[in-house]
Amino acid sequence: MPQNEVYYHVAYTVAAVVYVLYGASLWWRGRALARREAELGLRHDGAAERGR
Amino acid sequence: MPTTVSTQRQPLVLPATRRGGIDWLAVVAVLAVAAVYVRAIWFTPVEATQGPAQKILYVHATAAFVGLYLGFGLVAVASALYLWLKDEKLDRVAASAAEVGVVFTTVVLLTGPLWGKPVWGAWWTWDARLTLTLFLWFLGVGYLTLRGAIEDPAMRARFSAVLGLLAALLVPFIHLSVYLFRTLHPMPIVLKPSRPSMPPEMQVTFFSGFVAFALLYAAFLRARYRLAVRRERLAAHEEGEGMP
Repeated sequence: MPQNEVYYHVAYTVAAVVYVLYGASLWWRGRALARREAELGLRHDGAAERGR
Repeated sequence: MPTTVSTQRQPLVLPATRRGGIDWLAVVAVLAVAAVYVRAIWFTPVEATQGPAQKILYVHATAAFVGLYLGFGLVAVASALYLWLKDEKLDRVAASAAEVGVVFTTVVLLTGPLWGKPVWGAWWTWDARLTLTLFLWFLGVGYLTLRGAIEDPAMRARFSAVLGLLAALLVPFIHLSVYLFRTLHPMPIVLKPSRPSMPPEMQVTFFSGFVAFALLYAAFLRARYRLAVRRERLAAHEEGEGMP
């Protein structure tokens, strides 16, 4: 059997890194929006969302 | 197609995602993906011919199923419906689906060469399946760039709906490319008329992976949609339109 574990270890790591980076980018963009919303007095909390 | 279109802005409604400050869909998706990683690495048998590198299937093909078929399929449906109904929600869905679809296609394009090198002896080959997938990724990036370049919301939505619809037309060609062209890429082993060509243990890992990554896709999509709604609400507020 070929000994090629390293390729799948790297592939699993790369996939995880891409997904984590994208998740972080969503969080970071959400945080920047929340800051701006707070400056303008707009609500974005869960209670406001559920009430709509 | 209707000849008259309502240009009235609809109230911006955020989808409820949090209960007690926790996005449970995201939590479940992350746990499901972690479980699939554990099952694939430690509890799924190694394929005898290709060796451990064959386990790349569980992150590569699942990302392709979710990103290409689900992701760009949703872009096509939402874009077509937008061109018909002119509903801003559909434009937001298409934009969110395209962005998340590009992320999953990126994973496909990065993990594919890592599988190709040990099995084919080459990181990349310009065969139909690989080249068309790369084109789809460029079209996805082009779609997102186009959206960033047009300020008028109606024009942005219309142009990107046309591009999104045309880009998604590549997906069936990508799936059929292994039948239509001489290619190094293997024939489908799951999405085909006959039964999947895998032992049951591998099938369980593969289908669990598909469900887990579909959940991750849904969590990303909803988070991205929420951002789009909040961004538009902010823009409307800053323009002084009096949106709540």
